[in-house]
Amino acid sequence: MTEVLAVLRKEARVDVRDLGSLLTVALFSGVTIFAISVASFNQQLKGGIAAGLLWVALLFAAVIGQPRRFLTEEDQGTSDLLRLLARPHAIFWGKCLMGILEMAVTALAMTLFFFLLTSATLKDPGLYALGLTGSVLALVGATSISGALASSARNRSTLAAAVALPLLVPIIFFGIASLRTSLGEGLPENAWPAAWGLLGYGIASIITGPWIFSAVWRR
Amino acid sequence: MAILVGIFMPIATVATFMVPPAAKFQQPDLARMVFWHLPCALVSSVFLFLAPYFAFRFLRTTDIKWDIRAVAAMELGTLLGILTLLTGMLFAKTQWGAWWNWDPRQSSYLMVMLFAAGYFALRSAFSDNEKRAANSGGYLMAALLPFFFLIFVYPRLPQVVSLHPNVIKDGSFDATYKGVFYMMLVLIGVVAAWLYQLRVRAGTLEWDFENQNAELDNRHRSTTPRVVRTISLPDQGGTTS
Repeated sequence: MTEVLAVLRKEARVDVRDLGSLLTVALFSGVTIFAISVASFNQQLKGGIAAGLLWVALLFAAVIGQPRRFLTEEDQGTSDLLRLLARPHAIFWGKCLMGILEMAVTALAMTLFFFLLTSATLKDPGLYALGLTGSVLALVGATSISGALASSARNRSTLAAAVALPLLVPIIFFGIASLRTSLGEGLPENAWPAAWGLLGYGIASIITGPWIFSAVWRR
Repeated sequence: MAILVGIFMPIATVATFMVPPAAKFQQPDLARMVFWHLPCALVSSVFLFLAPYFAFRFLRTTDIKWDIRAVAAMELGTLLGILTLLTGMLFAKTQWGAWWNWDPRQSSYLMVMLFAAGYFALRSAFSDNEKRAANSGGYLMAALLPFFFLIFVYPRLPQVVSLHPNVIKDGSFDATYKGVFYMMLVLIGVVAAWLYQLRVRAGTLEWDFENQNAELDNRHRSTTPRVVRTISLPDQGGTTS
């Protein structure tokens, strides 16, 4: 646990020192929501469309933000030092925890701006909260794994995003299904299992991630 | 094996055209595509699930033979997957009127092929054999859950409406049709297994060849033992070596 917290502290310090990466995610999310509000100006956004647009914004924020935690270690040449200082599971969970914090803040900010700037209305806050929590966990888990797998590859930045997208496909289904109903379209009896499925997928990928990560990190 | 396949494949192919048309399809005569489409999909799924198993074995043992098997399984799974999509598109055009209907099974199989593309893209990004094997193996392990979801769960969700008929259970096939279908399934399975074996053998030979090349390179680079003797050069009146 101490190791995990140490990696988490290190990640937090890196993020604070290099605000560029955080700002990129914030700017991207803000511009996406702004573009959605401009596109849907004077129109009533249907639940399905609103959920899809919001989810696309979340997805790209995760793909931009999360894999870089692993990629920068190789780019800056700090990966060998990290290998000496911490065990793989601690590195993975430390980075994942920081990713969850960052994505949770991003998702909350997006939610706020989304409802302020568009005409979408929230019909089921409980389902929305569960769907959003599951989305954050699942997105961070999958993008962290893809970042770790691509971190030592050639053209790693492009590859991390390309490899992440197929891993995110089931999450997209569950995510949109749960958010759509919470925004007023679809049946709750279909949406709740999807939201729980999303949460389960996220927890499963964060639990199994260290095993995959340690298999590639030590080589 | 080759002889048996050579004998039975033409017989089975002729049989697919001889059976009476399946009356429950919109274009009964053109429904024969199922004899190729469905076995390809089933055998492809088997290989796509074998690949993560082989990857798991590699990650546990670091024995390269498991990676060779994983690649072979992925290659065959992808090849059969592409055939499934192509034959499925032909079937969709004749039965449902469009090449692509965004049917849940069509879409989910397309996404499975995207996984395969990701796998091969990841492999091509590593020059070191061991890293390539480990990272692509990790990717297959991470893809196991999405594979399972896309192939088995998503198309069967109650809220998902599919155009695909459940040909085995809903009685779309009579006994003769079923017989030919199972024969094609076995034959395509046998051909795929045979190709898989050949691919594994080729992969192993490639690996051995690379290792031997590396050994030869090392031998040429290393300093061979030399004998140093003193010789006399009478013109200069001294000795040198």
